[in-house]
Amino acid sequence: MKTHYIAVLGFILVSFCNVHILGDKFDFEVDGTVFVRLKHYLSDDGNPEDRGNITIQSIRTGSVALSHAGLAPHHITRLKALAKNDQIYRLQATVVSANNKMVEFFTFMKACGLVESALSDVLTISLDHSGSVVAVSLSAPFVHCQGEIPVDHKLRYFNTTVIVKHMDVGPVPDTATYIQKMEREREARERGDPKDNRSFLAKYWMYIVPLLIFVLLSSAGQPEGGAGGAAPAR
Amino acid sequence: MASRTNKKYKWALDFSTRRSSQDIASPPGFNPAVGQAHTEASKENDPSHLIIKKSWELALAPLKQVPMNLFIMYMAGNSISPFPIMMVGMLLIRPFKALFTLQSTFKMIEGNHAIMQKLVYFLGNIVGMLLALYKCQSMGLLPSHSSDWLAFIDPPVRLEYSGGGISLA
Amino acid sequence: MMARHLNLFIFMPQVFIILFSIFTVSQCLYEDQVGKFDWHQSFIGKLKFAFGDASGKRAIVATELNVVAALSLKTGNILWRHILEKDPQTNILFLSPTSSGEALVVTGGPKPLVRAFDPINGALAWEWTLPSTFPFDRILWAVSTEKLYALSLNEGEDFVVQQFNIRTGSQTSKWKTIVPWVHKSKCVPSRDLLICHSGKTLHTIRFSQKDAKPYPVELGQPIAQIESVKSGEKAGVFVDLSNLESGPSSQVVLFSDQGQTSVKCKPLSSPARWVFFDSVGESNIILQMVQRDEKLSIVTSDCISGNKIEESTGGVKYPADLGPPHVESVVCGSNHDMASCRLLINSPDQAITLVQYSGKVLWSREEALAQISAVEMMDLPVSDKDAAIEKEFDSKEAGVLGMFGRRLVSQALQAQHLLQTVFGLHDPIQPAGQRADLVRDDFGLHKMIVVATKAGKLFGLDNLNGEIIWQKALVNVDTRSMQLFIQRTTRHGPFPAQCLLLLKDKISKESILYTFNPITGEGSRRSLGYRVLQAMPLPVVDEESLRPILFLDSSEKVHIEPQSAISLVDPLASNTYMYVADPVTGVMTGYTLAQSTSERLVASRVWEVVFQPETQTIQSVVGKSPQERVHSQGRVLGDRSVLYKYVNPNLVAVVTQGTDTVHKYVLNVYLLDVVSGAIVFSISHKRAREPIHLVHTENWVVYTYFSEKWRRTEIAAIELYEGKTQSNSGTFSSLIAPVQPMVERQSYILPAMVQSMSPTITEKGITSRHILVGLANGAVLEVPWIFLDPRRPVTVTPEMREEGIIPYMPELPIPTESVINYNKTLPQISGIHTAPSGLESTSLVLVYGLDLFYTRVAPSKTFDLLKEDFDPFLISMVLIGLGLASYTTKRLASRKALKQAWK
Repeated sequence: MKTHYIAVLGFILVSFCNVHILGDKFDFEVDGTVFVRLKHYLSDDGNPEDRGNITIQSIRTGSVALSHAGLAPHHITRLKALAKNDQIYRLQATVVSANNKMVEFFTFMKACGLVESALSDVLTISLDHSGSVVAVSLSAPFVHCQGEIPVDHKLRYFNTTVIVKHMDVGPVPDTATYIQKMEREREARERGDPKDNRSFLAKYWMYIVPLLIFVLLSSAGQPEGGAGGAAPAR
Repeated sequence: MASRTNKKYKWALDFSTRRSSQDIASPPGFNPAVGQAHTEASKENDPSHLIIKKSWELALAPLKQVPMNLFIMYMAGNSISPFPIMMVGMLLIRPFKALFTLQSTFKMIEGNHAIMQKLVYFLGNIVGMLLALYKCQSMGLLPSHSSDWLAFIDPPVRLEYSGGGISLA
Repeated sequence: MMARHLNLFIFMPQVFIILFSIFTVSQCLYEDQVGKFDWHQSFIGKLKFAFGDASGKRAIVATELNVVAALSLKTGNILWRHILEKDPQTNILFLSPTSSGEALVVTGGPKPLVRAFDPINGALAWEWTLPSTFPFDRILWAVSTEKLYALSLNEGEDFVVQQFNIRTGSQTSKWKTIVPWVHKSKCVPSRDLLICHSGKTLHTIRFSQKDAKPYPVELGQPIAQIESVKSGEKAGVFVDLSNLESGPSSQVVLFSDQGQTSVKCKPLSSPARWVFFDSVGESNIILQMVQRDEKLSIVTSDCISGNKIEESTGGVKYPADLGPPHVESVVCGSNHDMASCRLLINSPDQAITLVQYSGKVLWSREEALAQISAVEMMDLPVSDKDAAIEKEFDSKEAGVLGMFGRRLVSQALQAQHLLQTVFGLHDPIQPAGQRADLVRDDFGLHKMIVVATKAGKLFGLDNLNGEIIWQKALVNVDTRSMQLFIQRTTRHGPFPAQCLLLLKDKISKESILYTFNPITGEGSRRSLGYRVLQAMPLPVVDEESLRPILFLDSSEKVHIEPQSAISLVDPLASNTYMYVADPVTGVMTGYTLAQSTSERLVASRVWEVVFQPETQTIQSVVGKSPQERVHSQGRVLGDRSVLYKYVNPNLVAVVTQGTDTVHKYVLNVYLLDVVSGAIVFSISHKRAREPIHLVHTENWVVYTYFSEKWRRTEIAAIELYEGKTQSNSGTFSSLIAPVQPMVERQSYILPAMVQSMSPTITEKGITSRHILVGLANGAVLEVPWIFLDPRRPVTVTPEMREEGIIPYMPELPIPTESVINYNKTLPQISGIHTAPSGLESTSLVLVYGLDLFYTRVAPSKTFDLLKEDFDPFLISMVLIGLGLASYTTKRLASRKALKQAWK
């Protein structure tokens, strides 16, 4: 019935589509698409309701298409109630990979975080070495839950950032660079230290100049001091 | 001073009673105008003048120290070893001491017309202190970086508690 | 590849010059310090086979842990020990003396071998291989007159005998005998006979002879199982009868050499363990071990008449519920005097005991310690004197006068104690059943090591010498997923310390709690009635200073132990999260207790992470030690700015081993926040596989793996930083504004095989951390963290040098000075436990495996201890002398001044 209501109000729309890929580029043997269906729980008990869909068009590039249902006013009320009671907002993500395999993931965040960010959440989809989804997690990275609930019309549409996170490539002991460095050092040693054929002045000016200044200063001070010293003798 | 009065001076300049030149005829070639000119010239030896001069000398002494200090600082280098530390310590302590003994330093200068000198002396010492602080800073002795306060940061309080592991079943 | 190694080799000297300057930091030992802070105990594992050698001085044993050893019968010490292949498939199948006295060992597995060891020095006398195609699970082994027989039984059909020359391994002959009654579990060889049972009948056949005739022996009662009589003179079996009515339950049947004639001894009420042949009376004497209450006594009786000959007067202390002991071997003196016989007994708690025929225990070895699964180090309780002082500060409600009175009393006690010590009258009064020296010392270096073993036996060891203070065997338990928790330490006044061991019932698989006092070992066992999936100690303690423990059961219900602590959970519930990783399905599930009420605890699923079994399997999940403290919240860089550490207490490292069509093995490490269920960081190594060992502390993770590509062990380090600013310095939350850390990573070559890895831990976390690496060659290497630092650059800038970073070198050195167990080789290291001591500089280390090795390490040197050569006496004498001198000179000077003034 609720989905029907949403359909009637025509809240389905393609929302902001901020996509990032993190990590070193991990080469997958095969590229593929992943479809994620999102359902959320707007109360502690009860059934999940449709939130929207995400299609990762290419797991290699991480390009994502996003479609979200907005929140109807009574959904907003329920969400705000969750936030007010410091409860959690749960999300169920059904991931359908290229070979039509369905895997369910759960994630959650503090409802206050979602409300106070005005539904600007970040959905991170982590992939493993083979490109299959390992985790879907929800967060609001910059919201501190200080109890400032925005006005209702800001809570109507999701502004979701989807991050497709690849695995980083593990480090390998870097023998090549080290050997090169050793090679260079050995060559340097064999050649001996490079002859420093700058002039004496060029090499040691930083010592000579202050010395000169010192001498000048003290000699400039001399007559004055001499006069001062002579004064009592008069 | 009182004891001095009944002692015989080795020499004294007496300005209080002026011997009139009329008593005795002037020696030949004596021109009183020249004497006048001489007194004019010896105004420099006028006590108040001397005091002012002395007090300025005193007031400017710290500032005159500055180039020397700069040179010492340069020579000391930035490494932390006993001698540079001692030097920097001296640089820092001297102006401090001087400031605390400011009143007694200027006591010998009579009168209270030495305000400017005091101010200059004060500023000179402040400059000396700033130099020393700059040296401390460049040697890394001042707790001016966040790393210097790192040891005082308490570990954050965790808001959530977690536990678990691989299924025991 | 070869050339590269050569190059490395050429440049090693310079590298070592750099390194030696750094390694002087690490601890090494002087010769006179050997054994001062450390001890080493060797074990052999659960006894499988044993026999006494001809001299009667030693027993040759073979164990479940693939160890062949000789034990001195006088002391129980290991005379020699051979650790055979450590391979999950390899096991010792057979041990027997040869006719020339060597110990013959048959091992199965991928490379089956027959070896003979000299019993005196353990030298390998000969060795030959068996065909690996042997059906080892169907073979019975027997030795007879320079021949080794392999009897492969084809159930219900026939058996094939293969005869080998015992020294050369050449197969001399092979034949097949068709008999319908053979069955591996129902047959035993005894001397030259193969004896099997079926129904109420015993069948015998001489296997060493081709075309031998089988003979049946009717017993009249159904037979449950048979065991061969190992004592020399005659072939025979001990028969366990399966009659349900009370009455005789066991019988001994002896056979003649051909098997055609048999002697049926009188049925016995308790099973017989050994048969002696009394050459004087030409009769067989049967030995039984009879258990009465908590005592075992040895009873001998005549075979035919069943008359009791003798019963030992002493009696061996033996827990009633432990199960029957097994007499592995009886070693008698040469004069055939029964009184000189000694019994080598193997009990189900894996203890090996040598008992005199008279019932006196000569020695006992606790072989359960060879397989430790959980260790904790507990502080010892304070002495009575200290307890009185502590009590003084405990009760604050007492008035000023009361406090004053108590102070007087405690100081009087102290004074008394001091006087007693000074005059040597010290007579410590200790609580009953507790040793006087088991009290906390000033530096917290004396502790109780609580050990839970795979055999289900618990031990309390003194950490100063490894002495067993208490032991407790738990029976009928499944110890595979055992967890040990400390509920209350010894620091809580009148309440004794309490530990909790979570294990499972052997039959019902339901969880069992064993709650015990770690100092005395006294405890009680309780069945929970559900299967615990995971357990979690709460971060608070109840009014009795007891730490409640939450249990999540297999139906996702939450329980708390003790029950009364449920009210404590309520304020914490909304912030308490639990997680369970299921390696079979690859699903990790996070639960919150937020929906709990003050009466009922409810866990509801909040997140789920799926490591799909098709691509990877979970190997291990490593969280941080709850004891650990991080003193420094950041790292000072060369430019004196701070790189703040990302210290997430909820972070766990999940290691999965993936398979891949191209790279074959893929090793994945995920850093997972178990509160939010977010993967903070993940890294993948191609062509890397187990053995994987991972250490996770502070803001870093170090793990070792085997690189398939380069065929070497590599060690990788990951370090997490928040960055140059700290997002929220006061609190850490995984849910509210989570931080994305920046990650540094690096890997190194470790030229050794790793068996175990553990970080050092100190009380306040000020001391730098080292990593203790147990190597396959038996060394425990102490690797400073700076060597594994992921920020080690190839070329070092002056700022980095100022920061103390050493230049990158792909291969980590293994300097012998940093091997903490110096020349004491530790075979089969399975774990390293570290615990903080009362001294910030010192961390206590217990290395376990086949052997136990205890020592202490000081990663930043003992900066809080005076040097050993510090002489307080000399210094105080000098001080007093100087004081006196200055006083007298002052007096003299003043007198002189006075005289001068009078002049």
